[in-house]
Amino acid sequence: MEKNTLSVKEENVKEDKSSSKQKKPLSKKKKIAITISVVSLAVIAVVLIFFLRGCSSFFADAPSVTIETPDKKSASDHEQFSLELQLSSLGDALYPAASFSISFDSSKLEFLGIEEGNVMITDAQSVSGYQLPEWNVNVDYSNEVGQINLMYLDMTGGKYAFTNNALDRDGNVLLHLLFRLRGSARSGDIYELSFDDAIFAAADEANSLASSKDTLKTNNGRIVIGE
Amino acid sequence: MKLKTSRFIAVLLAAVMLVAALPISALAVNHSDEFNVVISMEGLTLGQGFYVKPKSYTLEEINTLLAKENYGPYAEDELTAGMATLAMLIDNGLEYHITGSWESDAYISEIADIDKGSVDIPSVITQNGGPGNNDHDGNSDKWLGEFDYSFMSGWMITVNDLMIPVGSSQFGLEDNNGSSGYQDYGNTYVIRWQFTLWGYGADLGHNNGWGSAAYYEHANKDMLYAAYADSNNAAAKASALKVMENLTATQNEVDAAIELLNNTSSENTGREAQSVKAVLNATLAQLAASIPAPVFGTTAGEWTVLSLARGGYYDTDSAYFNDYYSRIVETVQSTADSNGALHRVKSTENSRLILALASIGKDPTNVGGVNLVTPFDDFSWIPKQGINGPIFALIALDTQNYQTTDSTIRQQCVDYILNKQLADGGWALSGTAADPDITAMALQALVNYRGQATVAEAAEKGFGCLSAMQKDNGGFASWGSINSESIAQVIVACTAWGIKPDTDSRFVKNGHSAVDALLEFYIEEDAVFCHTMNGGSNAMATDQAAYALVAYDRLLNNKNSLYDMTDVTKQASASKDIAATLSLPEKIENIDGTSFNAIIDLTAWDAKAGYKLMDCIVSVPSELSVTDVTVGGRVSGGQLSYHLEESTGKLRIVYFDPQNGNDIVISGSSYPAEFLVIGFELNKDINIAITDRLSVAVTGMTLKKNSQSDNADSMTIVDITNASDNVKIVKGISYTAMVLYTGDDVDLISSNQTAIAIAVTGVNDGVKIKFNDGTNSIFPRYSASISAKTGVSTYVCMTTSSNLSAFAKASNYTIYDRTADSITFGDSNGDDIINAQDALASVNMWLRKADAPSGDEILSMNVNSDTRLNTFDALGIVEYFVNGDEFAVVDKAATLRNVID
Repeated sequence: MEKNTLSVKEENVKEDKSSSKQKKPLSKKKKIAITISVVSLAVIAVVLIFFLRGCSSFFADAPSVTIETPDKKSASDHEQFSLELQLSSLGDALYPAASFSISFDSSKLEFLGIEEGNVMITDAQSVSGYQLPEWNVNVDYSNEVGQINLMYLDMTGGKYAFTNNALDRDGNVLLHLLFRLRGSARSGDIYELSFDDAIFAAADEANSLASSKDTLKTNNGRIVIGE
Repeated sequence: MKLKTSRFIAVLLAAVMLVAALPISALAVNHSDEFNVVISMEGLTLGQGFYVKPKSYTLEEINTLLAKENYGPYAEDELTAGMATLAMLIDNGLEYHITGSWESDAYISEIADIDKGSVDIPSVITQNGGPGNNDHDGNSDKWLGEFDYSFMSGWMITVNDLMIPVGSSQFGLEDNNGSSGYQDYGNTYVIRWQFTLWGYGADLGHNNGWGSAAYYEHANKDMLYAAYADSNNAAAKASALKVMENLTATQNEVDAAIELLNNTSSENTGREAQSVKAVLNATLAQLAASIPAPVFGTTAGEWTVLSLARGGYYDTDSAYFNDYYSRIVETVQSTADSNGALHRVKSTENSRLILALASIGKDPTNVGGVNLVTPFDDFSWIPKQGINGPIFALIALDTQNYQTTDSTIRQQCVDYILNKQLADGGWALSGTAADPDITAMALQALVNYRGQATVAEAAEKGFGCLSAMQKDNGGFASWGSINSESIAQVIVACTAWGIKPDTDSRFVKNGHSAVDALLEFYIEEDAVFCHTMNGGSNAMATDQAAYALVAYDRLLNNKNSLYDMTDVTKQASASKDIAATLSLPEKIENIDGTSFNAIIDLTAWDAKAGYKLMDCIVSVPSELSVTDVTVGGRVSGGQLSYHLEESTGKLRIVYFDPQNGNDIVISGSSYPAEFLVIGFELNKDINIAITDRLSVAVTGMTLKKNSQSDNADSMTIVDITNASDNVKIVKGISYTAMVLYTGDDVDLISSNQTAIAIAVTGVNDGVKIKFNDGTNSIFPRYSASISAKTGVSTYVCMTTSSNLSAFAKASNYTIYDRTADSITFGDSNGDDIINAQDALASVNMWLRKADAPSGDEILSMNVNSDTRLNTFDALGIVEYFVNGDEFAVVDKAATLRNVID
C-alpha cells in the first residue's frame, strides 16, 4: 500500500516535469507544501488501514510459522519439554492441507511426538463449526532421519480446512513439539530446529502459503544448553 | 584271467609297498600274464569324469570287435594303440571323426554325444591361465574334440603313462616297451584317452615337449585303472572312482585306492566299513542329484529327505531342505483336514512326514499353521490301514518325543502291536506267517518301550523270528522273493536295538551278513539299488537301502539311531508371514565394471516380535563383486556388516546393534518394504556366448530375538522361496520395457492409457532417449528413483498405443547426447518438493476440481501404480512424506513384474 502511494507521487512528479515546458516552475514554498500534503495524506491512509484491518496483519508482510525458542536447558535435564509451533496468520483462502519439514539433531535431541495446539480446521458438523486437526507424524522415522515431517490432509478437499476465521487472535499454536535431551547433549551446545519446508496448501496453488515461494515465512527455533 | 591279473596286481602292489620310496617307475615289473589292454576315455579337465570307464580287453576280444569293421586279426606284437582304441570305440558304439587312417596314423579329432554339457573345470587349469567355468569357449555341437571349450583343446593319448609322440596307429604296444617314460606292466597295457583343455597336455600333468611344462606332477593311475577294470567289488570301485576322477590326485591317494580295490574282492564276506561307507556316500550323492526337489510322497520324498538328513549329506538348514519344507508347507496347507490329518484313513501319511520334518529339525506341530501331531489323539484313526499305522505312529511320535493330548495314545499303539504278534514271534500285515518287513518295523517301533517286560519278551521273540527267516546268503524274503527292502528293514531294526547286523551271530548266515546281502543289490554304475537281484534300479529300494546304510553307519559311529532324532537341532518354522524377495534388473551390459543393484524386499514385518538381529546369506556368482550393501530407507535400529567369501561365493550379511541391542525397526505400514540393497559390479568382461545370465539367490535369512539357539521361538526363518533372480547379460545397449499399469476408465486414467517403464543398459545415466515406432513418438522421462534402486537407467512414459511390443524393440529407440527430462513421482506440480500441495493435488484431481490430468501428470501422481488416480495416491504421498515409505510405483518398476516381450 505504501509502495503504491509513493509510485503515484513519482508519476506526479514526472507529469510536473513534462508540463514545466509550458508552465512556470513551482516556487520552493509550493513544492514544500505539496510534499507535506502528500505525506499527510499517506499518514492518514496508514492510520485508517491500521484501525480498519487490525495492527497485527498490517505489520506482518507474510504469514509466518515459528518454532518457539525455549529458555536455556540443562544438559543434565532429561525431562520431556514442549516447543510451540506458532502461526502468525493465514491468507483469505481455505487451506485443506498443510505440511512442515523440520530438521533437528537426532543424536542430541529425541523427538517424542506432538500435542495439539489451538489452531483449528473448519467442521460444519461440529457445535462450534471447527475442530482440531489430526496431524500425521512418524516419531520413529523422525528420529531416524533427523527430520520431523508433519502433514495434515483434508481428503474432502476443503470441508475440513485451515482458515483465517479459526485463528485465535491471542496467539496461534498449530501444535506442540515434544522433545527430550539425549545423554550426548553437552553444555554450551546449540541445537537448531530448522524448517526445510512449510506450506499451507490451497486448492488453487496460487493461493497457497509456501516457504518455497516466500509466501509463508519460517522462523527457526533453537535450543541452547546452559551450564 | 581276472583272478590271475588280480594276483598279479597284488604282488605288484606288495612290491610297490616294499619300495615305496622309489619313484613310480618302480611299479614297472615284468610278468607273463595274458595279454590285455585297459582302455578308458575321460574328460577330467572339464570336470566331466569318464566317458568310458577303464575296461580290460584281451587280444581275442579286441580282434573280435575289430572284425566287425573288417580289421585284423592282429598278433600281440602287431597291435597298435590305435587299433586297440578302435576296438574300444566299436565296443561302446561311439561315433568318431579321425584324421589319417586306423592302420597308419589315426588321430581322434572328435567323438559324438559324450559331452555332458556342463563343466566344472579344475582350478589348476584356471590358475595356469586356462578358462574357467564361465569364460570358456563352449561347445556348439554334439562333437567333443579339438578346439572345443578352448583353442588348445583336443584328445591326447597316453600308453603306459607315456604321452605318445606319434599317432596312435603308429604306436605298437609291445614294440614300444622300453621307450623313454614308457612304463612296463608286463602284458598289461593301459591306454588313456584324455581331453586336454589347456596347455596341450600340461593340464594333464604332462610335459608336452613344446614348451608348456606340466601344471602339476601327475600321479600314475594306470595300475588303478587296471585294478578298477579287474574288480567286481562295487563299493571299492565307487571309492576308487572318486580318486580316478580327481585330475590332481596324489600318488598316495592312487596307491591307497589300488590297495582298497585289491583287498575287497567280491569273495570277501565281511564288509569293510570303509567300503560300505563308499556305497553309502555314492548312494546319497546319487539321491541328491537325481531328486533335486523332493516333495511329499513315498518316493522322491520323505524317505529321501530322511536319508540325506540322517546321513549328513546336507545340513539341516540347507537350501535343499528349506526348499523342501516350503513345498511341504504348501502341500500340507492344501491337503490337511481341519484336524491336521493328511489322509482320511492312512495315518502313515502324517507319520512319514513327521519323520522327515523331525530329521531336518522342522516343527511338525506347526507346518504353515497345521499341527500334524493333533490327529494322533484319535486312536481309532491310527490303525485304520492296519498294523502299519500304530507302528509308524510310535516311530514318528518318538523321533523328538512329540506329545499327544491323550497321554495313553502311545501305550495303545504298543498294546496294539503286541496283540498282533504272531505265534512264530513275528508280525505280518495279514495271515499267520511272519513277514520280515513288518516284523522289523514292529521292532523298530517298540525299541523305546523295551523297559516294559512284555515288550522285551516280544522283541526277543521277534528278533528270533527274524534270525530264523534269514536266508543262507544273508538276505530276507518277502512275498516269495529275496529283496533289498526286507533286508533294509532288518538292518534298521537291528541298529535301533544296538544289534550289529554285520557281525551279530543271529544275522550272519554262512558267513553272509544282512549288510553283505543288501550290498549285493547295489548297482555300482548308477549308485542305486534294485528291488530283487538283477531287477534294475528301483526308487523305493534305493531309498530304503540308503537309510538302512545310514542306520548302520550311525551304529558304527556311536550316533543316535536312525529314528532317534533328539540329536537334531530344531529349526524355527519358516515364517509364511515374512517372506523375502530378491529382484535384479532384467539386463545388464557385459563389460567389466557394470554396476547394478539387487533389491531384497520383505513382504511383511512383525513389529512386536522384538527382532534384534538379521543374518542373511546370498549366493553370488564369481563374475560379480559386491560394491556395497545398505539397508532400506525404512529400516533402522542396527549396524550393517557384510563379507563376500570369494572362494564359495557366499555373501554373509548381518544387521544388528552391537552397542545397545536395539530392536530392528521397519517404519511405515506398506509392504513389501525394501530391506536390503546389494550393489554389484561385474569384475570382468563377460563372454555372452558362454554366460548369458547370472543368478543371485538368498539361501538363508533369519531374524533372531535372542541368543537362545535351542529355543525355536528365538528365531524366525524368513521364507526365501522367491528370493532369487537372474540377470541377463547383454552386449552394448539394450532396452527392457515393462507395463507399469493401464487405466480402467474409472478414475482419470483411461483404458487406452498405459504407463511403460524402460530400463536401458549401456548408456550414460539419464541421457535423453526417444521412442518412435513410426506411429508414436515419445521422449520417455528419466526416473532417478527407479534408476538408483536398480542401478540401471530407467525411464517412464505414458502411451495410448496398443502396440506395446514395439517398446521391446531396440530399433525403435534413439539416444541423444543430451540429458533427458526427469520425473519425480509424487511431485505433481514439478517444484521438486513433495509436500501437502502434491497430496492436495491428488485429492482435488480425484474430486474433479482440476482439469483432466495429462499423461505426465498421471505418471507423477499415480504413485501407487494402480489403474486409477484417486485418494489412495494422496495417501501414498502422505505416507511417503511422513513415514519415508517408498512409492509403490518405484518398487514395481524396479522389480520388473510385467516385462514386455
